[in-house]
Amino acid sequence: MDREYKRRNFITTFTKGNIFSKLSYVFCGLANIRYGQVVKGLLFLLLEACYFIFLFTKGIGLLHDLTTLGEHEQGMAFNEAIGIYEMQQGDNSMIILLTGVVAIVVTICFLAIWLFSISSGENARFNHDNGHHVNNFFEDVRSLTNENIHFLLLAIPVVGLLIFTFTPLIYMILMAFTNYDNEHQPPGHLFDWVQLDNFKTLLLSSDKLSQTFWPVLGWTFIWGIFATFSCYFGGMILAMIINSKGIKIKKFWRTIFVVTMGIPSFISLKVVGTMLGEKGIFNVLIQKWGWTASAVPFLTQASFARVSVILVNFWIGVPVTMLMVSGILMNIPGELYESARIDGANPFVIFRKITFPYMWFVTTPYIIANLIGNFNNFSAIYFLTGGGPMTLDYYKGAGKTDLLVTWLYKLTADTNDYNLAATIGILIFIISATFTLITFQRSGSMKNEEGFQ
Amino acid sequence: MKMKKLSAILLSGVLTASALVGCGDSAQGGAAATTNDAGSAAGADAAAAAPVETQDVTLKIWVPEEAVDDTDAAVKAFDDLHDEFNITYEIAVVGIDEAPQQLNTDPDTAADIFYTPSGGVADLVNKGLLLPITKDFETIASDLPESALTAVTVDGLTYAAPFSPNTYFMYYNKDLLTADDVKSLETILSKDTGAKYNFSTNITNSWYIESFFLGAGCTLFGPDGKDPSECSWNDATGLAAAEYIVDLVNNPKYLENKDGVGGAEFKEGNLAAITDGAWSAPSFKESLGDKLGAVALPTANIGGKDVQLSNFVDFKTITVKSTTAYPLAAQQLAVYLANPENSLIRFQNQGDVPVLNSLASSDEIANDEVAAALNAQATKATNQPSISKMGDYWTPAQAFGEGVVSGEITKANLQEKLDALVDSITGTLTE
Amino acid sequence: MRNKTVIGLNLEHFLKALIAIVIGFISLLLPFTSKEAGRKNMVSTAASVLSAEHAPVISFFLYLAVVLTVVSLLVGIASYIWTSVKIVRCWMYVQICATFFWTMLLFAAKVILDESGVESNFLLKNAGVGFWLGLIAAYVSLVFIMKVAEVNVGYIILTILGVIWMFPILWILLTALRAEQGYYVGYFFPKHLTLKNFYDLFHNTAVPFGKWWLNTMIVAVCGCVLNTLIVLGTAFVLSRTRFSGRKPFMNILMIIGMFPGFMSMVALYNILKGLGMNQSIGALIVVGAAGAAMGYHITKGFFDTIPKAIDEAAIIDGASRLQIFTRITIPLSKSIIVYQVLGTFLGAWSDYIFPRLLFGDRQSSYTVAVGLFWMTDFRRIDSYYTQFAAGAVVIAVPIVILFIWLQRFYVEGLSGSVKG
Repeated sequence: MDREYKRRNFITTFTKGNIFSKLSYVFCGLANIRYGQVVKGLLFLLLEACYFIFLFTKGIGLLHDLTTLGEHEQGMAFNEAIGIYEMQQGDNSMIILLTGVVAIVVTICFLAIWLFSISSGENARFNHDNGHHVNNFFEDVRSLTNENIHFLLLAIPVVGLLIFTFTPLIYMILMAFTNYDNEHQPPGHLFDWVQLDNFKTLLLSSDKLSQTFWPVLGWTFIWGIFATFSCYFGGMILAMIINSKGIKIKKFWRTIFVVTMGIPSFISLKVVGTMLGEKGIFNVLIQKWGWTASAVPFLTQASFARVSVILVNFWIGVPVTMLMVSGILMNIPGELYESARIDGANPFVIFRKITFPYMWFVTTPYIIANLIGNFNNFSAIYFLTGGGPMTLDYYKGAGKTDLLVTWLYKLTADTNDYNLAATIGILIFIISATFTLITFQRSGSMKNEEGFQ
Repeated sequence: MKMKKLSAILLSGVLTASALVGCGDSAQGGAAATTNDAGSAAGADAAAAAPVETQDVTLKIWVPEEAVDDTDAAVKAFDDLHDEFNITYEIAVVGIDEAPQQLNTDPDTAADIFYTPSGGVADLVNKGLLLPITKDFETIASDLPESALTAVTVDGLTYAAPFSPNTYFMYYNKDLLTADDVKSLETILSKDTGAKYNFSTNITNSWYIESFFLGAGCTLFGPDGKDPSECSWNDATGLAAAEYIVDLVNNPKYLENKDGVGGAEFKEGNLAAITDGAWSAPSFKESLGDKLGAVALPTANIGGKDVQLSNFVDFKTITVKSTTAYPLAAQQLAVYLANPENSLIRFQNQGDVPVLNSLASSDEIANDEVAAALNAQATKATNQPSISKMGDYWTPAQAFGEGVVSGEITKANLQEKLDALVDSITGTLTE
Repeated sequence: MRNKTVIGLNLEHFLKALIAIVIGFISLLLPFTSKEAGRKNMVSTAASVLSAEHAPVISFFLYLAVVLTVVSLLVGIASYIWTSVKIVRCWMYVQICATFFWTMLLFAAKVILDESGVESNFLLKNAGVGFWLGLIAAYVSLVFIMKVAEVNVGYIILTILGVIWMFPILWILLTALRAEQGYYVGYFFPKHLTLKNFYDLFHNTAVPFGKWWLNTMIVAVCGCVLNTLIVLGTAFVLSRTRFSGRKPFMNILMIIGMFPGFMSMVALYNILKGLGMNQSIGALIVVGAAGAAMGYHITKGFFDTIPKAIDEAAIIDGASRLQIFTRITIPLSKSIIVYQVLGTFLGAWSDYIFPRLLFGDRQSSYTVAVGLFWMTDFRRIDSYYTQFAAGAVVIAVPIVILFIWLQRFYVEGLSGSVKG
């Protein structure tokens, strides 16, 4: 038997491997069985068998249906005997798409297991050929609590994410390439693949839809930036005041602001929304106080509404930042302040030269996460203005304070244009993901993961 | 299949009736009414007389919370009446506006029988979620006004059993306005009532704003409400109606009814007249007592002539989902729930004014001021178009109303905005 | 002044404070009312309000603003002569009161002037220069006096902000206690107070609020345990171990949640249905736990700050990774655990969109958020609005107490983890 003492990669395992290694590409786990890991090998084989049973009994049908998204439309027939119409079930494109996606995900999982079994078999061979100890099944299980702890602790999250996040995600992405709109609603009608048509309509055509998309995107950015930085600086200043020397009962002051966090935001937004109405309590009071002669259109006029939502978001968001900044302020080394004070720096200079740079450096990931969160801040807009005031300039449904994400929601809930909504969803994702990945790679926290250890 | 066995047994008794139902459908109901009645009565007799095999039926019913008890009693009565069914049922609380949405989310867990506004029927049919209701329908068809039948008919088949017209009318404070005053909007607005406001409606709500346009003579989706490419709100008549709305909103005696403001002021006695639906009657009565009056909407002087304001009327209906496991029982129960007896109970306990002609003209309802006002307005109203394109009407119309109220839309840019409005309503994505 | 020093006082600002209060005094003699009312100064305005027949009760704001400004000037002069900590403190308190009443005039001036007949339809923007100068002078002198007294000026800002922040909260509270039913009322203080709304909330057959509350509690508590465990596990692995594919895995975890959730919710619902879990609160717990790992970031940041040497020492002592996780890392992470628990707990009470879709018609499974929102449907809102507010209060009280109690850990957890 020719022994090889080098570890092989995925390809060379096949080209240079012996008959067991080669066969284990077809029969998973064969190499493990050959080199003494019988239970492990059999498990691989069993999983493979399960997958192929699934594939031949169901999977092929599901994947085939996915290409057509159903062929038989629902029909109706008159049942002479009892004198009523009866439904004849047709294909449901939505369910076909979803089950097709499930089949794809199962296949992906199997491929991962397949690759893993090959590398695991190669490992067994390597250890065997080198005369190292080959772990038996019990030892493998035990390694899960130690060097392989990532398999143990990540198993549940990964499975959960696969089922409840990843699968729906693929489904949604695929939806953007269909004509699943108001006219093609299952189960009454079938929908079909339309390639990139939705993207073209949304981005390139010059009709109302793209005239809506770009302004809404623009406002989404403006909102995101204002909402994030107003809360950030507001919270920072508030925290610095509360934490400054000479303020007594700090906890009391913090609590006053924290109370807003205790009320679920949709309730406070809904209530504040009523308070800001044309005859709402704010307008009643400011007229009573003589601040204005007539009602202020807080939520009914586009620019007022935009300012109002930012201010209300400020009211909700500042306490969170305040708490966070409070903690960080405690972490800033006191010596820095001492030396600055000895040099005669005034408080403003201290803030500019010490506190702020430190804070900025430390909180970059937080700001990025917040920015992305605000781009997709559904509740702040939906519960406060519902996207309003509505405008005739936009495609039906969108209002002047609508973010992409609330507009998307309206497209699904009100007009059932799932295809457009999915397309917008993909665009939101591309924007957010690129932005996040780039900024995170550049920020200190990713670079010096071990900086503090 | 169980179904077939059952149908074979029922065949003899029901054959005549069912054949007639077929005729009735093709003839748009109504025509074969009298014979239908006889036929179904004979069928029921036959079913009662012959020893029938009992079918186990499981049904789920969605009703608004105030209708739970009455529905429970009605289903029990229905079960007693029909020996051929042994009904196990479940009643869940789902409001009439929420039912279509929830059916859409998951038809499998949805109720077999539920309330739907007739405006949503066409859309649900388009989605393949509703079952035509033909069985027993002839028992109420002849008693229904033409408008109600049209509202639930899609492609010649009836899909819902209507039980109550749904529209709004006008309440007024008898201390401030007389029965003569409330006939014209001009009189209402110009009278010195001593109250803070004289009139309130909801221009920012697309279910209210149309009364001016339709009253003036404009049409939405053509005269019959079936043509998705048609909307005449930007012609000269529409412009006049829109100008009237702008003037109205700027009238200091007008109050925009947003966030419940109008209702609150009306109850306080600070407002003389308000447009609202039957659902507000109990709380208004509680606050105003005998001072509360209700009438149809007034006339308005639009473009130099007095026209009757005409709002949308649609109907509260009972529908059956397409995938129900017991279509026969479900249809019969749906129709049963909409029959005169149950409609009357619904009126007495929940204030839903019956749509059936025989009940509407009965003393009990004619003497009820609110019900009379609703019925009076229903005859003056326009049928809410029941095509799925109607879904594209609501937000643009709301946007137009909000523009007028916020002052962004003035007489200067009115024509331009009306063109945009019509464009939004009739436009389609793929040209 | 320059040569004086008093311990506990910062006399640098004394002169500025004095000048400001003198300006404040002068402003009493400058025009206060608008042009239409003849530009009367504040003293004569006060005099005519005093003699008016229908002067409202709150007119004393005006009198006190005048009187206290004068008093403050006198005390200021006195403290110039006999400088001591006591008298400056006294001056500060007087000025605090004066500033308070000046501020109240912002809200009360219209009522006072209109009702006493001095003006008709007073608008703030028409007020005379004396009004604005006096207001500014009151604040400026207060700031300087506080500086002299070595009291943190931040109190002024905190008080103003605190009032603004509490205003909507107070409104919710008052709505919950309001006896007059209805969605819209045009006044701030209810005419009658009652606890009936709370009683109705729990004794309403159509609205099983108690059941909803319990459901939410179950979801919240189970979610706290499961989500926290999962987040801790994930963050531990990503922070303390190195395995191939770790970085891509972290990146995927971070961005996978950035797709707007609504689109996939219908799919999610159907998957749950396939698993036989639709319409149950169990589904809510499972879905919450399944997505918990995506929030690993803050916890991982926290773990990154725990010195690796501790782990290494434990490994030398023969501890397995799992033992390090359970015996060393978790006990060191009290604050981040509290942070996670609080976050999840709060989320369970405010999550609305997905539960709404999930539960459909099964009212008995509703969580509080779905149930409360159900009350705000336009057909119900008028009869349920005060109960809705009562529900909000019922939810908020335990959460606020929890926050107050665990504030310190929350702050530590959050700050320990956000690092460069």
